[in-house]
Amino acid sequence: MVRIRDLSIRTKLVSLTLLLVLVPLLAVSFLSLNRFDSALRKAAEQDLEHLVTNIYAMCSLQEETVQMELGRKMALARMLLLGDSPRIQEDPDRPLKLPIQDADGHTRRYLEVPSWKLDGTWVNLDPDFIDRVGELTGGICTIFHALENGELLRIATNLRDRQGIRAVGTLIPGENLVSRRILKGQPFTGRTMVLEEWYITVYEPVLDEKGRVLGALSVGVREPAVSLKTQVKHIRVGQTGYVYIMDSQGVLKVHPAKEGENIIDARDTEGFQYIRAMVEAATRAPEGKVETIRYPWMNPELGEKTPRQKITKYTYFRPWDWIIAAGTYEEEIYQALYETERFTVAVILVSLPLVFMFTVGVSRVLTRRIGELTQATARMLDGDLSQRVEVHGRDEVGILGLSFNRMASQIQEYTTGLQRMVEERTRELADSRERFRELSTFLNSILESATQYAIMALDFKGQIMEFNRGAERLFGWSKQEVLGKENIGMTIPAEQREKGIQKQIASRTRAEGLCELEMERIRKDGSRFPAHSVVTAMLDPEGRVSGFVEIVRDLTRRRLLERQLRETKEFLENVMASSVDGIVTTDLKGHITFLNRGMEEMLGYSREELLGTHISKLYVRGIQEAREIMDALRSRQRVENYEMQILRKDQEVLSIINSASLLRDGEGNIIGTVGVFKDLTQQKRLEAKLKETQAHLVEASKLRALGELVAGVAHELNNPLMASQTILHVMEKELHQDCPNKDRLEVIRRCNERIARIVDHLREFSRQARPELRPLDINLPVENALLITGQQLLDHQIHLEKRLARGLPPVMADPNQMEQVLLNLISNARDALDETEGYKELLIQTTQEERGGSSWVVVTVKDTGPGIPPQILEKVMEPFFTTKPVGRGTGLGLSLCFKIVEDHRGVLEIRSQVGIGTEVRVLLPANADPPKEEPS
Amino acid sequence: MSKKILIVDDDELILIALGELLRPQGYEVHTSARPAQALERLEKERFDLLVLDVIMPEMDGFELCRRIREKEIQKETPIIFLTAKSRDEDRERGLEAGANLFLSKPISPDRLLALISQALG
Repeated sequence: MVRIRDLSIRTKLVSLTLLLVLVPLLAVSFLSLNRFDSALRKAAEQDLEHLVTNIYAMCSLQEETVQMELGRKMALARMLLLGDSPRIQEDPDRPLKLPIQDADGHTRRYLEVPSWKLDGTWVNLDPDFIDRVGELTGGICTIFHALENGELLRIATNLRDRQGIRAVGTLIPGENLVSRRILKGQPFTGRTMVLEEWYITVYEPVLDEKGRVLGALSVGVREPAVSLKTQVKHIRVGQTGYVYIMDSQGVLKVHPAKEGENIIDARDTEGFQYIRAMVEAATRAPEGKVETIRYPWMNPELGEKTPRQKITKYTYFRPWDWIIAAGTYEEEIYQALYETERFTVAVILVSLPLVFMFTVGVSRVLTRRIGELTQATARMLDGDLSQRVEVHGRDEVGILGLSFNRMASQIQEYTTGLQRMVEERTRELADSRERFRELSTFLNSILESATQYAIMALDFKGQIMEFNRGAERLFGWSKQEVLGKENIGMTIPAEQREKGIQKQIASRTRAEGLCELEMERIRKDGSRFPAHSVVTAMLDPEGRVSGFVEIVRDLTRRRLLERQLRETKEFLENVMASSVDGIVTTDLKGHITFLNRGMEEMLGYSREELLGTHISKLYVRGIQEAREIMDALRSRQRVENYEMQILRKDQEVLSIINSASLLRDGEGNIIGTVGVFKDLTQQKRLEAKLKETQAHLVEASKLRALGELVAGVAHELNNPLMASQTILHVMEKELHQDCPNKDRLEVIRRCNERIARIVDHLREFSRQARPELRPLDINLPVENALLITGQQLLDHQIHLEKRLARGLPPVMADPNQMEQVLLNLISNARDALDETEGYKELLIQTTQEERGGSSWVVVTVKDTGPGIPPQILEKVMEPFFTTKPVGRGTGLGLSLCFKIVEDHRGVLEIRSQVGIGTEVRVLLPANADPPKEEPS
Repeated sequence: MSKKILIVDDDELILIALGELLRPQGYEVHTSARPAQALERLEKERFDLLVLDVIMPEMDGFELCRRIREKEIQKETPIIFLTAKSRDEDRERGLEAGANLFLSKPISPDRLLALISQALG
């Protein structure tokens, strides 16, 4: 877009001048042409209109002449026919008989009408009379008789047809305007076609004495317009225009070429029926008014290819039913107009370049010197300060030139001075820039190589200004993503931000110059990691804080290692703490650095008493022993199952087994020793007790074997006893009363009975009698049973764990039966433990327990035997069920226990797990009342 | 026609004795010392009464009784347990297994005869 004020002065000058000259010129030409055009058009059209009006006037004049002539002829005929006072009488005595012709000329009938008598003369009987009247008036003269049906019958006329026969006997129909006017007693003037020729005729009614219409008299002359038509036909309008006349039916009356044709349906080239439109407009217009119509027209017969606009002026002459039209092509009448327009345009076109050339020339002269100044200035701007301009004259431009030259000199001086200063400064700058570039390269390489550290520069609002590769790696954002766009806050968890952590860091850094902290940070993917962060302040030259530098380190790996270390440590401490063996570590010189709880308990010392003391203090053989162990360690790396003796705090000597090895640090350097001390004293004590109680066990075993035997015998005897009894019975039945063997069989029968009694007794024994209940401390039978079996257990290498609760409530129980139950359970446990190779332990425990709303005293017998599979566990309560080899068990033990416990209203439970052991629990109601005597 | 009785007991003395006791009374006595063999016989043969021991090798009397009762043709056959067991639980188990009567050894021959006669209706 070119703005006007940016254009050169010369362009402005030229444009303005052209504007000032051309606009008025064009405006005047346009306006005058327009005016001229409308005036000429009007004049041309008025010519056409005058033509039409003139013809109209000529027609009017002629019409008037004809009317006057007819009037005179009618007066003469009336005089000749009827005289001054017309008194016609009808004379029926002399009727007139006439053949009547239709319009087609054929005779149809004869008609008789009365003849007319006037002053003794029969008017219509003498044909010569009418001929004379015709001659005198110089026209057609006819007498009509009015018939009763309203028709007018020609009874006398001088009109003859081509054969010379008078036209009497013809009729004017009743509906004809002529007949209607006459019968009303009125005259009529009009154009009438008579025998194929147009006449202008006047009709007058003929009255009798009483004023009744008898008929009519008419005088006509031939239409006189022939000479007018010929004149009109020769009128020319422009080159091809002409005048034509048609009637209201469209029949051409006058036309240079098509006279007589009906052109009512003629159409212009657009299909418009312009003749009909003309006819309609003309007949409706007031008298003498000239109408105008324009339509496109083409004469193909003249070889025309394009339609041209035609203009036609026309008017209607009513008396003759003539439409007078004058038409021509518009271009013909506007010819002069077009020529004038063409001339005017040509003048303007010629004057335009002249004006332009003149303006350009003038402007060049005016602006040349300003142009010179401008060019000089431009060259100066390009650096050529030596530019000066030539000064002509003393006008404004001249003064401007002088000022310009002075200014140019001054600028040249200043510039030289400035250039020197700039060169000096540039040198200094280049030096310092070089130094700065070295430093910056150094710093950048530090930034980028610190890939383990995220180093970020922030402005005082926390906006990220620098983001090194370490930061990209740590946080996941790329440098381009965050630089100048993101705030450091996005790496800080929302909950910390809400607490105002950023403000705290900023204020601490401002106050102390540095802030160091550990907190969680967020990566681009939203994950969090523990981080160590150091924030320092960046100071501007005035010493104000302009931003911060933050260095962040990922602590994830360190935290993980820390946790693993802690867990390992805790695990080891747990292991050591839970060990019953003593564990001790020493440094290389033998000073104790650690000991576990097992060691504390074994020695009776507390940890504090021993830490730092020399290990040899614990040894019975003292420093000598310590040296030997150390020597063994140095040569074999470890010492295993080294039997030795140590001293308890209470000076008791303990026999132990020591296993020791060297302790090394991460690099494999020996930093101390570790020893595991296993106490053998307890084991040796047990072994002694075992031997002591073995005798008791043997006896108890015999007792039990007897019990088992009795029960077995009792059961096994039943079958043979029954067979024997049965056979004896059969025999007794078959024997005669006096058979001497009968007495002998009676003896056998008594023997059987005695056997049965003994079996019964044995059964009773094995099953035990009803319990004799009394309040009892359950620990009593437990202790008794253990007293019996203690030695036996020792013999079988079974470790007995006895946990008897003191102060238990008493139970109602039979001490002997309870003892038997416990003996049985211990015996079963012993048998089970004999089947296992591992550590054999028998636990006997008494406790109190709440269950189902009542209080129970519970005795638990638990072994570490092989356990009982579930399918066998179902059957262990059954009498005679046993898994033991023949002769060892009767299968009565547990069932007996069950029975006894049940008799005490107690519960016996067995739980067992294969590979772990079996646990039998006897529950007895605490503080129970003695059960009521049951009927036997 | 005499009634058919099958006695199952692993003790041969019992089988002999019961045979001696019952045959003179007009019963047709069959014996079997092995439960499995007895079960096989019962597959085709009909008996009017079965007398079973409880403690036997291979299969105990309760189990045998249950298996017998599973057979369509033995659903209604009277079964008597005759055993050295005498506890109430054994008695209940025997009746649960489908037996009509539970008798403990030793039992007087008169009483046994009376009960068998009663069981045969």
